[in-house]
Amino acid sequence: MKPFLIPGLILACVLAGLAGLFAGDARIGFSDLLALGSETPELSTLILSELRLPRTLLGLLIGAGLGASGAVLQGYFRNPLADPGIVGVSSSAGLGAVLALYFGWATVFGFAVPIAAVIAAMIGAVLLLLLAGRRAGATTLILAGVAVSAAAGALTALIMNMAPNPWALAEIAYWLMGSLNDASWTELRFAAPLIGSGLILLILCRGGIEALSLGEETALSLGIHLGRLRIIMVAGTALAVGGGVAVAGAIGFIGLVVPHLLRGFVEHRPGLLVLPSALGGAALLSAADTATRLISGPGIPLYLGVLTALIGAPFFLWLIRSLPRSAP
Amino acid sequence: MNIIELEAVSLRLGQTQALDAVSASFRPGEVTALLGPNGAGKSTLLRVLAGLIRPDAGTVRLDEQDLAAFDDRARARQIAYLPPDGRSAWPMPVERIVALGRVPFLKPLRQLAKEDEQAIQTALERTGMHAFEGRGFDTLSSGEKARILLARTLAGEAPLLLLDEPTAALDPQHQLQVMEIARGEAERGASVILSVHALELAVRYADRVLVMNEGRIYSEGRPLEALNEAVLRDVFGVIAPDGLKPSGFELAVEAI
Repeated sequence: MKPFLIPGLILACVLAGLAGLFAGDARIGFSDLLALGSETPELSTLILSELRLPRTLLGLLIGAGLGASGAVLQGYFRNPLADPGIVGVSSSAGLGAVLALYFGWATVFGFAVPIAAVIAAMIGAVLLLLLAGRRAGATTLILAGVAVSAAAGALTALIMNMAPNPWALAEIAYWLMGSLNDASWTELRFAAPLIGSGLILLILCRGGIEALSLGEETALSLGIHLGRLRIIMVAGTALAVGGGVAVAGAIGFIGLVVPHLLRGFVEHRPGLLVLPSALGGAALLSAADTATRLISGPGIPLYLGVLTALIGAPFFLWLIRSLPRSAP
Repeated sequence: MNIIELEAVSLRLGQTQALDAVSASFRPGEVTALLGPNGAGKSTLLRVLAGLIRPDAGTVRLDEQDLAAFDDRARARQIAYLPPDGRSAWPMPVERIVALGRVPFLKPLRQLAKEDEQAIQTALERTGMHAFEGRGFDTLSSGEKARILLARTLAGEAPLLLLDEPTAALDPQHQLQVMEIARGEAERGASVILSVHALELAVRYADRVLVMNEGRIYSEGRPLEALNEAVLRDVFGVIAPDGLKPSGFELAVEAI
């Protein structure tokens, strides 16, 4: 690994975080940062402590979860095109949240949307493991992921189709676009333990995915327990991605782009890529969120999920074109 | 003493009886060549020996203990396995590929220790690949890739080496180099079991051959005895009018 990589990425996170705190319509100064926690805060200090700070921290955390998930999935599938979306976890979490919105559970119980999203992400992950079977190879798992994703997408479309009124439909549609507009300490307190435990599980996959570079038989012969690795990987992804989708909606492509950009700095070693991808994902998502706030005009908010997709989709196309034709 | 032995091992894969009551034993310091036509059960036998598949019936004993009772990492320290058609998903530097052979010795989240680095260097030297350090795996020729994957197998310093077609798709020079490396490991005390199609390589380099056919051991023994005229005709469908001879080629420059 290049010696400057981790310090550089930490610096990028700090800079992206500071930009997130200070950029926006309300003018925030360093004096507000120093006044955090004071007994009689001014309005600008309140904006910083109650809106910008939780939003920035949540952006960093969700980005870390998406980046690390992407790195682990790409390592596991030995495929640079793998992404948290591909195992069906993102769309399952989305379905859970849409169900909660449709049935109006959120009006009865404040945490209904995020809880439904996380539970659905877990159900999606379990369904994936059941479909793929205990001894599934990477190809079977990808196909099972596509199937789970398609089923969740179809049910989500059905719910939107049956939306009782345009407002309910609009609420679901906006939610699916993904944003940190509603971020507060409540969301952060909810998501942090989920994404945090997911990140720990993902980091535990490092040795296993490194050995998988030479294929499943070699990894098995090196003493890697593939069944255990698969469960840790799926649980880690479900927690890290589901926790993020639960509070911010669907934000795509971070898990695809970040590991790919950083791979060259870690000698293409899949195990070494996980931690840098978490840091890179944190910086990128936080920066993208700040960008949406700066670009958005009054009354026309640009959604974070839309921005990441606008950047991510051309990148995805370029990636497909740049891969050797014979790649697995 | 035998390092590994099979007793009446049978395994069905789908509709095929891949192994049918196979019994065999292997000693340290020997190269054993598994011979036989395609589909004879050579690869399956190597996978069973490696502990990657459990047989339906019969037992495999490693150091006189049931192989199935070994913990994954403990087994991996005793047995190094080279699958056929090996490749790397990522263009990592070659020494990083070789370092994967040390995985069974690494504690979680720990870096390579001094003895790991030493084992990697030794493996690179024995395969004649130390000059390639720092090169990306994708920049190597097929012969060089094969030797790096073989070095990965040696880096674990396991007393039992299982090599599935290590000479496949290699030109004559690289085939001889790979067999020389296998011979060298046996002389250092390892038990090397490899599958190979070129009968003359087996005759020249193996101490013993097992000829397999339809999941059974058809004949076994010293190469020229086990590969007699009847075996050549019945199992391989070939005849050797002038008798089977070791490969007529020599390495022009001693590469290893």
